[in-house]
Amino acid sequence: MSQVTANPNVTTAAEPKVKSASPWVLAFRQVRQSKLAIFGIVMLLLMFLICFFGPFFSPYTIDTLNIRNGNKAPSAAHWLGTDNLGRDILLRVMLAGRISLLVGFVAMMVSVSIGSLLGAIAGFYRGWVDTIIMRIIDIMMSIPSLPLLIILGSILSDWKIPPSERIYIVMFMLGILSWPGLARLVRGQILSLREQEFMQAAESLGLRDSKKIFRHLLPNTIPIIIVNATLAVGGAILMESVLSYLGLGVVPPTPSWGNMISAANNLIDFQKRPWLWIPPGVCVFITVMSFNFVGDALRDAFDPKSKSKR
Amino acid sequence: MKQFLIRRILQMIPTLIGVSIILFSVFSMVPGNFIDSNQTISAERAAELKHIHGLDKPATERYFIWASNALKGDFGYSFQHKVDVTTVIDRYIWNSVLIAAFSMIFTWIIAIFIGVFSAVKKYSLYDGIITFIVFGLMSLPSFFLGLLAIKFIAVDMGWAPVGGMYTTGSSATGFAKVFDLLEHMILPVTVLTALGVGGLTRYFRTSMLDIINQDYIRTARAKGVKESTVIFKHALRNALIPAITLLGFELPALFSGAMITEKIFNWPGIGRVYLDALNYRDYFLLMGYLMFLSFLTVLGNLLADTLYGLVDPRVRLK
Amino acid sequence: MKKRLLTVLSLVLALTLVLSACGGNDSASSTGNGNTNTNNSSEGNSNEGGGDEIITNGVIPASDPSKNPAAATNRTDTVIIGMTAPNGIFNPLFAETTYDVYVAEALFDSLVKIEKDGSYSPQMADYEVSEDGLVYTFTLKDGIKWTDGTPVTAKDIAFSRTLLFDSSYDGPTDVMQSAPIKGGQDYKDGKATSISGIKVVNDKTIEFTMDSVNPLALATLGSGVIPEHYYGKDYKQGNLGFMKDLFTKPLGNGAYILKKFAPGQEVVMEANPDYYAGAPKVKNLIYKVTTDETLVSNLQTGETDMDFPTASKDQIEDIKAMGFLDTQIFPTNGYGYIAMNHNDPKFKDQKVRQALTYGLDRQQIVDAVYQGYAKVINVPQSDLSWSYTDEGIEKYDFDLEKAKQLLDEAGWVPGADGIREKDGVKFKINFAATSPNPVNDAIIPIATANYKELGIDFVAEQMDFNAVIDKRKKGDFDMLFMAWGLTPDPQSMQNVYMTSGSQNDIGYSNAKIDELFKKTGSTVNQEERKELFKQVYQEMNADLPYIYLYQRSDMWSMNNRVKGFDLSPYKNFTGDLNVISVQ
Repeated sequence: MSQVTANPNVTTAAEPKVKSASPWVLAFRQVRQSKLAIFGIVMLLLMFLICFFGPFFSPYTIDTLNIRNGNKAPSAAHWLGTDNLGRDILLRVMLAGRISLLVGFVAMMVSVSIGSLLGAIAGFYRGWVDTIIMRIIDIMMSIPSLPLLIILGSILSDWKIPPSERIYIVMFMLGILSWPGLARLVRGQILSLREQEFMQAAESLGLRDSKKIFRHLLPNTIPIIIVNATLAVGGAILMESVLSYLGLGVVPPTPSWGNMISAANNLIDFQKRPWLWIPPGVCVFITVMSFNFVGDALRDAFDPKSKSKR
Repeated sequence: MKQFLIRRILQMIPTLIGVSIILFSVFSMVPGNFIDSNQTISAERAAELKHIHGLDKPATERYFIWASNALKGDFGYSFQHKVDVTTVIDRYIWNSVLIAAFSMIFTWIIAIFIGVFSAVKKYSLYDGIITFIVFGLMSLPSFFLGLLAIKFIAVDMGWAPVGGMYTTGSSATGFAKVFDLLEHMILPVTVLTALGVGGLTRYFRTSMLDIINQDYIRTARAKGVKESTVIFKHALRNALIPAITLLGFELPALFSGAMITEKIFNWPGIGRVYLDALNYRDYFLLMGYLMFLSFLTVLGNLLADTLYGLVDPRVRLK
Repeated sequence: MKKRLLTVLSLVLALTLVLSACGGNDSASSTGNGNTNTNNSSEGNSNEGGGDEIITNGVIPASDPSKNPAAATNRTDTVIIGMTAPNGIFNPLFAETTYDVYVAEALFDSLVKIEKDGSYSPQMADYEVSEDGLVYTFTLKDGIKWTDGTPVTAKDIAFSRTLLFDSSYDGPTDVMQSAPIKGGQDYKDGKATSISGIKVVNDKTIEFTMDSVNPLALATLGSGVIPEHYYGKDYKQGNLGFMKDLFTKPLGNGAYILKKFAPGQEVVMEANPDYYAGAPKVKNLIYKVTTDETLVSNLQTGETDMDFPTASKDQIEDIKAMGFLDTQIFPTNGYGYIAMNHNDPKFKDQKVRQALTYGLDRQQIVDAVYQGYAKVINVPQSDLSWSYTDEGIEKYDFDLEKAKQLLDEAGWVPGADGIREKDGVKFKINFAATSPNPVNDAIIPIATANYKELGIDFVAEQMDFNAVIDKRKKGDFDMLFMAWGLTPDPQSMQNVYMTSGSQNDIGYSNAKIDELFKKTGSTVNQEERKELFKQVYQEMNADLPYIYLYQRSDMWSMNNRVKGFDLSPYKNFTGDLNVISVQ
């Protein structure tokens, strides 16, 4: 970031008396004013509500199987059609949403918190702290996740952890596996930001390190964090399906968007039976999109100079 | 700078040793092994085979044997391919590098242009459409994109071959051979590029947005500098600085092979070989290949840091 | 970026595992034959139910050969066969995957070959077995030469078989199990410099003396042969390290000669003009690497002449619609089963095993996955085998009431929470599912629902294939689904079902079956063996070492312009390479 003048955040810091001067609070205030962001939030809320309460209104249950009724196109009885075992796709999409939304958000939160925190610390302190964190990142990035996940799957299995509870561990695993990239991005920015004038001002004010990092440095990296987080939500939702193959994700018959999509991974289902993969695909799309709207508004909010003309 | 480089290069040694130890222990902990995956052989024969391949020794001893051989340039023997690991890697990796390099160039060029324009025309219809496409591509797994490309581009339109690297049985040489190769690269490179462009576009759009609102850009505009000069000369240059970190990630990506695309388009690359190796627990092949990649990862990160320091003079690397 | 890699990686994994896991399952064939390997057909594919008549054994002919694309018809002297990538091990003693075997079989002939019905007949050599079944004599036919012009001699055969006993031999043949030649162990241990049981009588004749009678020995003794003057010049006992340099530079005697190997792309071969059974009519033979996603597209555009699509209703409809492909379809020589851990007391009870079979809607599972191209089985044998019987075989049609009754009789009664228990132990089944695998995707929901009604708590966990194998070896499972391949001679089943069987890792033990296998293995009288095998199947059907699930179908689709392939579950297409022609 080649900011020449002092960052306005310094102003907020310089006038600590002003109520709610925190950039975070300011940001949320501004998000409220963005129509797209409101739309995104409403969509996400709707998604949550439908997924958590929708199944109670469905005439079918997860155990309703009838293969003679399998692979049927959408109809009045089955609004979104049925899969190869004759299960109602609509019900499955809603049930899957419970898992997938949770997985996507938790994994993203974990990845973003670890990644931005460690990245900021490494960039701020430099020296041996940086060296250690960066070498850990080098190692993390060199170690392939698949074999690690296979091992984790077998350890959990050996410890007899019930398959239905493993998903909670998985959410964290997904987050833990994906933080190093973000950490490097954040660190790179912080390395540059910390040399800027507004930080010299912060220095001369004698602010505590934690305040410098959280109030002045990290807010300036928010744009890149938001991009990363948006991409991470979608990534985690799709990645979950792979983890279930390794005994780490949800266990069938419990559905997830990821495993519903990849169940239709052949040319024939792809061409002949779009109702198998379009509904979960659209759900992932809406989720990621809505999240991105919120993210965009947040980004604008943190960048007071950006006056978007809409 | 010189001191920084020397120190970082020296640091690579313990890092790589650490990686090799972790990788080796990971693979000694992964359940199952190549020999037991063949259920048809007797327990005696399985023991015999493990002895032949040295798998009957304790993991620590195996590590030191592997490490000392590796230092001599011998990375062991692939169970599946029954030849040296280096031979297997050499057979496939260059094919992967070929498509990876092409798609990387396209990805960056396209992502920069799209990113810049969506930033300049923020919240316009154009920006909206791009955002829509980017997230649409992200919401479906890449094999769908591959299948789509095969269906429409190759089978229905006949614009490109379905898969493979050269026309089967072709004895073309020289220019004709290169042309044949390029024709076969259309589909995989297109799909790889489409997959890579999405995320990168978001990054460029974001850093561009950051820069455009900076005071010096406003100053430049106020001075009456042409808009295109402002964008491409002043803004883009600075917007690309954070991208250097991303560029560092691309070095290992160049060699790591695109597994799904290679598989769908039948491209004889290393990605597929790696996955098979993992599925069949071909440990020496996995070790050799992954050590090579981690060397590139570490090197890529070093390059990124060095470049970062060079490009942005304010960054002081201690 | 890491994220992106991870995601891409993970999705690929998802795809590949479908193939490899199934491949892995099938590779688990119960056989002593040297060349057994991964049968990489993807198990299962979803398709519509019902509909028209289903052919599972026979030919679906091309309806309109005129639709043949020009790309194929212009290729008048070349046949291109699509398959999964071979690994470049072009040597009959070392080739491990099916695809390397296909290459090796085109380049090297065997002493004996397998006929369409699964019986053996002479290829390079006539053979005789002594009365006591211990001595095998092979006599080479006249005029067989290596492609460098050197004649094939009995010494080459001796060399090829000796290598199997070398202590550094790491190929797929488990020779001590399938063909224990007298003195082989001493050679392996380095106590002898040659094998006493191998005797070269003259240039054309060789005699093998075995340690014990083994109906499976002929397949190993009669397999492919490699030339001593080429492969043997650097050979020292106990060191086959030089061999790896020769895998891609083979010197053979088969119908075709290797011209070019492009890893992951193609194997180009040319007709051997001096082939002893007459030069092949098709000048060029190419094996092209194809994948599941593209193999049908490749057939459609005419880029390949023949391939091995998954036998499913959708696939067959597609192929029929193309009009220019002949499809040969036949029942797979193998079966899928659910194994139970017999070391667990609850599965030791025959009544419980029967109840679990009655109480599982197997037809629904099989139909969900194969939509008519697989059938439920009740004995572990293909109905094409000479030993097959359905006399006195219980069908175990889905019957929850009967299952409940059997569980009651076995002492498992419903507890307060509806879950059955016995001696204070709840009836809970941990199902270890290889994944991704479409069969498991159907078993899990159906079994969960069915067994819930029986009052059994069925809990599934998914793992990759090798992790399940690891659990199986350790005995750390209750139930799992896998598949076995079969050999033409049913004797190899003893490895799976006898108490001491090398592949019996689930702890199954039945004195009657042990006894019967001993009898079937000690006679060569076909009628007598047939009667004995009938008893074997009846006993297995009643005792249920496994829950038998299905036998599915395999098919080869080939361009109508290629004539002369005549395939069966037993016979590879390589057996017809020297007789096929192109129109």
